[in-house]
Amino acid sequence: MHVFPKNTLVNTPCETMLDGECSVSVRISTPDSVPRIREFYGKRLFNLEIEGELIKDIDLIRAIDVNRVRIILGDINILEVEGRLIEALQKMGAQSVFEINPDKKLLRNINFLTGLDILVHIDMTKPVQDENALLQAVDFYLHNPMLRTPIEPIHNLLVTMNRRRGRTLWSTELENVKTNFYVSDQGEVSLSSRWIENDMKYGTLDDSVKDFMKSELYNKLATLKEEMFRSKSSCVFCGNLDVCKGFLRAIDSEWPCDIWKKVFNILQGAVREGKDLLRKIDQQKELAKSPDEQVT
Amino acid sequence: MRDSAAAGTRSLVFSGMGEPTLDPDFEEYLALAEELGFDSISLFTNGYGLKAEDVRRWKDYGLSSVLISMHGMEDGHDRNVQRKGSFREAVSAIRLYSEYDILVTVNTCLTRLNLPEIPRLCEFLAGFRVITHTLTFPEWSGNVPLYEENILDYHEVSEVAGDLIPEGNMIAMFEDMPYCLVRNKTREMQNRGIVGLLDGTGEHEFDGNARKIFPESCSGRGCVFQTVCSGFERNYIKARGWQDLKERVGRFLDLLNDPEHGDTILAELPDHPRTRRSPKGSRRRSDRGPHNSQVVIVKPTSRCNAGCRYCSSYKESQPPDMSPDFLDKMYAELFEYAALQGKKYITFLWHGGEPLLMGKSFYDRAWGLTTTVKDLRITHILQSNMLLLDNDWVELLSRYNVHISSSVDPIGQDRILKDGRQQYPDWLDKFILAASGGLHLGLVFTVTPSHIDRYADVYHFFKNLQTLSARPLGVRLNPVYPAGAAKGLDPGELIDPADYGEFLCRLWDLWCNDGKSFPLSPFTDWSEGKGTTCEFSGRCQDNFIEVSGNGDIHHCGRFTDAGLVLGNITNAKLVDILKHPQMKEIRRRSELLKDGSCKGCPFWELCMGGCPCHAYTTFGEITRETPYCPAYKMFFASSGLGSVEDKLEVN
Repeated sequence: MHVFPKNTLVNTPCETMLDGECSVSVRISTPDSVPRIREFYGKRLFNLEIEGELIKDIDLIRAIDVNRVRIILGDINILEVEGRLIEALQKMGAQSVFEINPDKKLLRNINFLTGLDILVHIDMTKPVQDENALLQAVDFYLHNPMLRTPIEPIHNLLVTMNRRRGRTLWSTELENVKTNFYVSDQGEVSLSSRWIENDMKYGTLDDSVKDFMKSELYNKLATLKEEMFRSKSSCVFCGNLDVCKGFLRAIDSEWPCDIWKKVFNILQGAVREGKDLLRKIDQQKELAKSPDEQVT
Repeated sequence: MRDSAAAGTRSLVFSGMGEPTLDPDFEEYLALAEELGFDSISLFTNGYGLKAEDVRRWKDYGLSSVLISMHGMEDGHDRNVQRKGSFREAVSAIRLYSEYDILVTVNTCLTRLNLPEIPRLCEFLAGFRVITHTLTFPEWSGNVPLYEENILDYHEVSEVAGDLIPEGNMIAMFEDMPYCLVRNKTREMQNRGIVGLLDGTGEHEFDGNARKIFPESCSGRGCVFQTVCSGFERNYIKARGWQDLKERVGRFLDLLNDPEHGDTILAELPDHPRTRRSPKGSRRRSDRGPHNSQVVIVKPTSRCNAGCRYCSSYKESQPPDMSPDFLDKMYAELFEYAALQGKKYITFLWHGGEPLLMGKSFYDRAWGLTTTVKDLRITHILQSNMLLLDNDWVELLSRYNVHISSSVDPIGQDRILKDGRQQYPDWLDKFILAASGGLHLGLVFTVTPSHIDRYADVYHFFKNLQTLSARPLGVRLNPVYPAGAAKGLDPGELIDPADYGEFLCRLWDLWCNDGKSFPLSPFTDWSEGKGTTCEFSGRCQDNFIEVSGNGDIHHCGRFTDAGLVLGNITNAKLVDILKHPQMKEIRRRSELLKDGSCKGCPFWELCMGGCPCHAYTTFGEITRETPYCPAYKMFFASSGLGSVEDKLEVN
């Protein structure tokens, strides 16, 4: 079986046990798999992942005794799950994160989860079903003074835009080509679930790194930027490519990303506004000084 | 690192008993440092094996400054560090870090082997963006006792201090040299910071703990400079004794206590009432300017393998290519001229036609001939469409550190090949080859009417293209003008000045709102307060000439395209050729315009009348203002660059 290198994070089903030194993110399906996973991976276990209807399995939730869990909420309305579950979720601690879809329920889900100080992450690989809800979520993040918990990837985008360096979307969305791998339930290896869904894979667990590097997927990822310029795709004339880095249209060059561009522009505006405010505050402080103290 | 960050430490330095970047986990440490939020992250390095991609990543991880060791010139440095090629590596590292705006400090450990080379090294480093160059008296530790014969005496440094760091050099400074021996050229004084190196004050006895020692007279006679003095190396004194150092200290203290000289010396002391501080942030700027630099545009061929519709260099009858044998004659003439004019820097811009058509052997000779030239700093730039570029070219260009400038247009339909196909796809492949080969690349964009409404696409394309290159890509904007093939264009295909002004205004807004994220000429120069590119300098006549394949001399590439020949260096001296009436006219131009049609123009300092050749090709008169005057006026007024407030800020 393929051994992934150290310093990589591999998302894998609980049925597939990976040897080596890589960190793992394990998709669990039954309560009894949790102790076995913990024992096998030890410190290599980065987090557990639960998806969809499994979140309603109270026994499964109660079986989780690690403090890093990624919950793929999918189409589920968090308000529909029963109270005991919320209580159990709260016990998971601050390292847990809810992956939520940009659909009609977005703002309600965000409001509810951040109110409990639970991290949320909007899944950028899913089509935006309700643009208005996404814009409201951005507004909620930027202007709600009660908010204490970051909403990703908005928070990271804002920080990166402000500092002009930081993690790219490829990294926040766990598609960093150098560090992230995804193993499907059938043992296929890819970059993430969206690539598998589009039948793009490096190979299987029986293949070597050299085999991976010969794959169509590897070649596509390695030449993504160049191909963008070769085909003069709309991305090369896009004012947000420095933020997106081609992530949104990596698979489909026609992917509808206008709403995300709108979000990027709102965040860029907020950064400018913030910087202007800070500059004005500094100026006022300077003016408040006596003439002798002022820097000329 | 975690503990230090938690304890409030704000600055972090990666150093090592060896070279820290060799640690396989170096990047992991750097990433952690970034995560922990240190305000400044520094690296002590020798530049070994550095690549542009490394610098780009490390910059992203927050690396803010580096200290690079250079212990002599070329072989001198290699001998000192005992590895061939390490000088070139260090120079390359300085260039790379500077390009990414990482602050570079250079450290030189003074020894008997390298002392004679230091003035040359200081001069050499003045051409780089080095913020500080420290000349360090060695600590008496590590390998030093093994090479004792190479270790200088203090007085040997003291006696040549003025030659090593001449007055006005604010970059170089001594480290670990006592104040009285080199006066205000010490690190502490140059930095105007007070340091607490008082661990050995007043001591005579060796206690084995403190590394530094002061003669008793320093405290006994109340030397006020002890707060900014490094003192003497304790183990040096232990090994070699005080020699005449106490007498030297005594003579300085006599001067200090002498009413006639004391005030002058005291004025050097920071925070002393009579101290005159340097202006905030001041440091020596490069002395490079039109008076001592020369740009030589060489057009070895007029042939071209492309068919751009607006090509300004196109000629129906093509003169012969430059003969390789002519290079000797050309260089001899140019270097003689440079010596006569006191030029220290020469940039050769190899132009065409398409210069790569001359072949590799021509350039191997052309560039190789300049590697042995002393007393002149020579740079080569190639203006090329890159269509012939291959791995061998990349290797040749890298070997001679030749920069490439290339034109591209992803939008218009005017840049085509001879067979009518668009150049862009082939150009992009070559661009990727050049960028992945680590070449220094610059881009030229010719603005035509088809770009006016697509200003945002133009801006974003060049901004996004940066992602394909590990090095920053500067972009220069030029309006299409009626010379060469462009003479045959319909007037509607040439750019109207009002449209060009509008284009500049919109592009400027995007560039500014985007934090001026890449060098965009002429905006970069203008935003720094003054036009410094040739056409806005008002002094292009002082430092631009063009040499054609047959030895014809023109003022610049544009005048070559316009066909105004000044003479030929195969039958006349360059210095005489440049006395041509046309050059006199260009020299008079600034004065005529300033008192004539540009009189009272609030934007004069930024424009200086613009390009004389643009005036000539449009109006038939060199002494007219640029035909793009309405465009520039519209731009300066809109951008606020020429405003009174802005001028005050600049001054």
